[in-house]
Amino acid sequence: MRRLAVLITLILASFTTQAQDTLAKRASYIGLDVINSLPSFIFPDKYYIRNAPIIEPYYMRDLKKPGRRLYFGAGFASGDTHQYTDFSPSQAFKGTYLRAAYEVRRMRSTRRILYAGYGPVISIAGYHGKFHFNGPTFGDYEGRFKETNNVAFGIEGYFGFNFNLANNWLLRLTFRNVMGRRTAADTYVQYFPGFGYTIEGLNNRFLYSGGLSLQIHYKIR
Amino acid sequence: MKHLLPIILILSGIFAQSCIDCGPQAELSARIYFTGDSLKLDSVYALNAVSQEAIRLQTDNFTPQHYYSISLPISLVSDTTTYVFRFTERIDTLSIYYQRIFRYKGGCGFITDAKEPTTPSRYYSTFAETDIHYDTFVNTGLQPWINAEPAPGMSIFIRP
Repeated sequence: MRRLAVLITLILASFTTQAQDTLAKRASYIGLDVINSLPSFIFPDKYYIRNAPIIEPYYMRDLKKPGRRLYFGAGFASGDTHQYTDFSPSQAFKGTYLRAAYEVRRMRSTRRILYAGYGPVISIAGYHGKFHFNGPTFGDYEGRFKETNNVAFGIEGYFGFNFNLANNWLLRLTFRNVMGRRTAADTYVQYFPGFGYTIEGLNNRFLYSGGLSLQIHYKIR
Repeated sequence: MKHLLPIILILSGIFAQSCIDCGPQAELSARIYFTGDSLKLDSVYALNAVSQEAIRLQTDNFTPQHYYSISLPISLVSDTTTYVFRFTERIDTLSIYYQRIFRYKGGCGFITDAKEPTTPSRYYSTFAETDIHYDTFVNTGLQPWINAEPAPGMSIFIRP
């Protein structure tokens, strides 16, 4: 949690210094993801993660060029994954991540705006868990695994719709795909914060995930 | 005829299918081969075992007529396992040493394996002759789709 606070402070600090040299009034928004962690609380037994708070604040800022925008996001996720077998056990994960993107938007109607963007993602996460082997003759064995400060770099591409709600409020529905690579990969990670659920196979280092995000933004300027 | 090549490619793709060998993912067993034995094995008792059931099943089905072998579970909680062999006329003891491996394997989750111990002693035995071979319980790489052979694991050769 402390790491997250430091990251957010750094991002905000960079914005305030940037903000001073602009005279033209360009819109900027702050936002929050609202649905990311809900399924993990509503369906803890069915969803692939359980009781996982995922907090994702966002900041968006229009560029000089019309229809272009910069998009920054931070995130914090902590929770448990689903237990599949004794050999693919539940993993308790915790991680902090940052993302940035360059975004292009097209007006579809006054209320609905299509946009698409891409940008880098960086995530620092740790996870741990226990695995279990049945030993009917000599007794069971329980082992532990733990990875800390696992760093992943990736690139994210997304598209979605902006819905203009009443006064300064904006609803964003984003479909995203993210792929990346992590530095250490002794075990398969079921959920990597910032990347999401990852399919198993080929190489545990490679992360690939797709997802949906619903965000509420407020126009601050 | 135009479609023959793609069909051949698809069919050869199906036949070239292969799978990953995860190994037993359970309590491992060492294969014990008795050579030139004239004694009758009555029972085997494992020290520090919580249940002798798996071993009893082996010795109950044991027929001394053939050249025979039995498969005895090895401990997951210790790097050594000791068995007491009860024959009609004598009793023998065998302790085997090994190194347990628990690791992650893609497509399998966590797997268990055993290999040669780091200590110089490999076994302690009261048999006339004992020989032990360490081999992996988990085949590396991809296995053929049909006729996949299980990995050999640990083998112990005994001359009572």
